[in-house]
Amino acid sequence: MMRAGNEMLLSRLHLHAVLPALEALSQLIPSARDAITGANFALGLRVADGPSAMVTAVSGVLRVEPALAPSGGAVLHFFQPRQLNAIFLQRSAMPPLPVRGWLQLARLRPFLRLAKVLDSTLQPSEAALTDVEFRRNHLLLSFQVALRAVPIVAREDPLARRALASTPPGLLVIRIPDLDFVAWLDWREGQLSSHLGEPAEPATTTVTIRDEETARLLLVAGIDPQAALGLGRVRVDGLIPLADGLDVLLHRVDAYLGAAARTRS
Amino acid sequence: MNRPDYAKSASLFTRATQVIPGGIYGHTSPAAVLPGASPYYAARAEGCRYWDVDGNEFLDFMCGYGPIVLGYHHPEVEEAAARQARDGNCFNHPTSLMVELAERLVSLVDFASWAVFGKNGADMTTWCVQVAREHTGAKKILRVAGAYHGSHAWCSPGHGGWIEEDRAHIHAFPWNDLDAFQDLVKKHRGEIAGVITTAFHHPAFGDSALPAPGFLRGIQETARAEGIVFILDDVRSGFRMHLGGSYRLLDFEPDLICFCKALANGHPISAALGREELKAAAGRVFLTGSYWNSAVPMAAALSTLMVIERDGIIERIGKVGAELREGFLKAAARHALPIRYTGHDSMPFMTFADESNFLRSQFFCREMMHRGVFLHPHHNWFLCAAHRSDDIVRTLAAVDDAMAATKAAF
Repeated sequence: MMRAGNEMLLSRLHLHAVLPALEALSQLIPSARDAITGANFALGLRVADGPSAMVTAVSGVLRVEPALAPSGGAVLHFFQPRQLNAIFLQRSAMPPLPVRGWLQLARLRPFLRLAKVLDSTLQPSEAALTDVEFRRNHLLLSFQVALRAVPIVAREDPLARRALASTPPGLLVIRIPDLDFVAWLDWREGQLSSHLGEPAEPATTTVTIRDEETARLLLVAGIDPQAALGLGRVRVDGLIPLADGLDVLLHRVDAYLGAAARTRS
Repeated sequence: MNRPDYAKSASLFTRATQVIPGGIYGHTSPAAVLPGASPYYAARAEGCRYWDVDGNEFLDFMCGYGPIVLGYHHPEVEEAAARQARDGNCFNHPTSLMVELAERLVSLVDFASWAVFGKNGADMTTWCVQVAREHTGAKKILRVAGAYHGSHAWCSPGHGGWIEEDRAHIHAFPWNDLDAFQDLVKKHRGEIAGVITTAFHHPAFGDSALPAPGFLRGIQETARAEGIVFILDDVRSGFRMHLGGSYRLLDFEPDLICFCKALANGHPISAALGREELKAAAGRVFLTGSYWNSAVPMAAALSTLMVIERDGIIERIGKVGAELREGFLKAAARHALPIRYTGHDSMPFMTFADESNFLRSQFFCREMMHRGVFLHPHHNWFLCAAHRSDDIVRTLAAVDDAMAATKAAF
């Protein structure tokens, strides 16, 4: 359950974990690619006393940065994190205030189309998930979002920090062979970072998720991780307490992003 | 070598996941051992062997995670338990066995003048913490970082189910770091109710460590000088190192001592004993549970203690434990695999010296299980009186093969 007062953390997750999924989305999903073909825009999103992000498209190539560019583009200011979160959760909210480049707002239509595709990909209907290719992209993007979210909750969520305090340091690799997904988390000297791809150093712990369906169930908390281990659907090699710590972090990510998304249904 | 088939274990576990959180929880969860490469469900046991639900036989070095000190299904203990069971187990009152057992334990533990009973180690460690607070009027408890004292909120190693307030007055210091302990005492002078330690450090996912000379004695002296109650958690090592409590081997003396595991050779009972001056406080700390007066485990405990003393069980376990240690060290040298073989000979643990992530240990223990020997890759092992020299010889033959396989694989 999300604790009261954590709207700010949720807004950071939306800007720094969810929004960057636009980059992969625009490469993976044909409708997303079509939505921004040839597009040129720059849009900043800023929460008062909180996080910001900048989405730019240059000739249809999209980039998401975790801070505003010092100049250029349109910038939307949100007075409250809740206001921004409402946009991501498709709830009604007071519109943000354009504080820069408001004349460029008309050029943002491709962004709005793209955002719609992102939303339907991360929060798909059951019917949509029956399409093999779509489900695969949904899972890939969802795991990428979770991977970016983990260091954020590790820094800002009290329960995640508490779990990490008793988690041994090390390098944890996650593999989902069905999805060609490899990522790693580095927990050392009190800092946790996450990365896509193969690490340069050997893993302390390797978590292998056996198949796409298990990956999906883990994402929606549809299977107990301990049970998944016993059933052989997940395998952990190496230092198990490091994987236990990650499990708590993923649970905390779900307590924000998952819980917020579930309030939509 | 026949790779065991775990089909029935797997099938039961699949059913379990539908009705039990995690399928199997706690220390016997497959997640903590070697999922898919170790049995999940036991069927029967005898001596130092057990059979899983698939009929696979294992020479066992976990002994039910400690309780089995004489061997599974020990005839005298089981006869004593069965005799009491015929008369009854759960009554409106304790039976005379409770008095007999308290007298017996008090006669064994030389500093103690009273005893109480529970079911699990955590019942006793938590109650002793309460007694220390009641006796001193202070709040704080000092403990060793990484030590296991049970699953209650103040000390559970799990991440969930506890709040910061549960541990607001719990402070940890590293094992064998007397200075760190004394620094905590200085920092919280007058606020400390108790200090709790094990006789030697046996954390999960870590090497065991015997106390450095003067460490536990130093804690005792500081505790006495400062009016802090010294609690010995002898739950795991009690009745494996010394019949009167493990402290007897280690040149120190606590104020309270907790026993469980080996006390009744697998029957559910735990006990705490204490000094006379703590008896009044102990009487004021409410202690009970639905089955805590059960007579059958008390009968089993009396029988177990009798056999341990009569048959020189602790010495016997020590002897085969030494054979196992020597065999492991020789095998490791033969295969040029540097190992750390740590802990007391009755509850040793082995890791590979050049790694900290347990990959080789997991591989090695998997190979041992393929050869019918149950060794845990992450938790200290236990020996019992049913382990004989020929069992050790058979185990060491498997060790030799498993080390060869480990050497080849890494």
